[in-house]
Amino acid sequence: MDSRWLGGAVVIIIVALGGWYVFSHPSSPAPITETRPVTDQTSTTTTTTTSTNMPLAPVTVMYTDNGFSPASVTIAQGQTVTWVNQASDKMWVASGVHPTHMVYDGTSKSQHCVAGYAGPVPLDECAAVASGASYSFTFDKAGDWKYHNHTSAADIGEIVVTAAPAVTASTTTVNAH
Amino acid sequence: MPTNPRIAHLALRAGLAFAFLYPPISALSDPTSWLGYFPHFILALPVSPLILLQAFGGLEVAIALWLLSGWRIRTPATIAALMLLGIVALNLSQFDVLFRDLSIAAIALALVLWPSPTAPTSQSP
Repeated sequence: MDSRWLGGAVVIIIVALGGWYVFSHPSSPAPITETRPVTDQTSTTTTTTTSTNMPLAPVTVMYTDNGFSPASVTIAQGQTVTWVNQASDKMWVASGVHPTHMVYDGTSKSQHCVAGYAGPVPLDECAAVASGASYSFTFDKAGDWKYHNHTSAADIGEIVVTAAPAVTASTTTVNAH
Repeated sequence: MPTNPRIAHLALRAGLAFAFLYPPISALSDPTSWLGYFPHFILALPVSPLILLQAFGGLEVAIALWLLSGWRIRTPATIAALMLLGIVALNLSQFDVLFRDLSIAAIALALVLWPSPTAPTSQSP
């Protein structure tokens, strides 16, 4: 085999691969922001507003044979995300990066996925679960947290956790007249 | 040309071989981490994923030993380069980790392009 042609072919493959990645790699999908429903206040006469720390509704992410959906979710600090496995294969949700899972809490899979581990709660399911099962995790740290399915690392997603705002609860009174 | 092409050639072969020896050795204790790089269509084959992983590991060991031997080096180096590029192409979402595979593929490319007349294997007894 002529090494010049062979070398040229490999170089072309590398360049093509790089170009393909740069131009086809999707930018971060538009995040889906979970918002609390707002009560219609058009028929009210008096409004009392108080600030309380109400629990935020959990957000659900589906895992199918096409990956995680939605792939990007924006939540508030302290909010819980539940991943539901609806794929034909197993799911093992874990923090980036594969395979160490260190990004969220700073400990590696070999540290936090062992019996007796007493450190911070890791973003790591630590086991592959079959279709129909789910996994929940409460994000206590603000940031942009990438995750993946450990058993199929090409399937990725991200949770954007915003700093916890003061949640305002509104009490409304309907006009009796 | 390197001042000592024989050692330079050996360093390239050893470095590339190590990249092919480590995964199957690591997979013995942590197979799921390495199975995670297999694409869906491979895992969908009617064969146990662990069998697939062991078969792939056997292929990696064979290529590593072939690289270390230096015999007809362009063949295993070409296979190694294509395998590395394939792994990157099938796991683009893990590019933050796998970008190194492109660098390792460049080592394989260096072995493919190494000029024959001075290749150490042709000088060895």
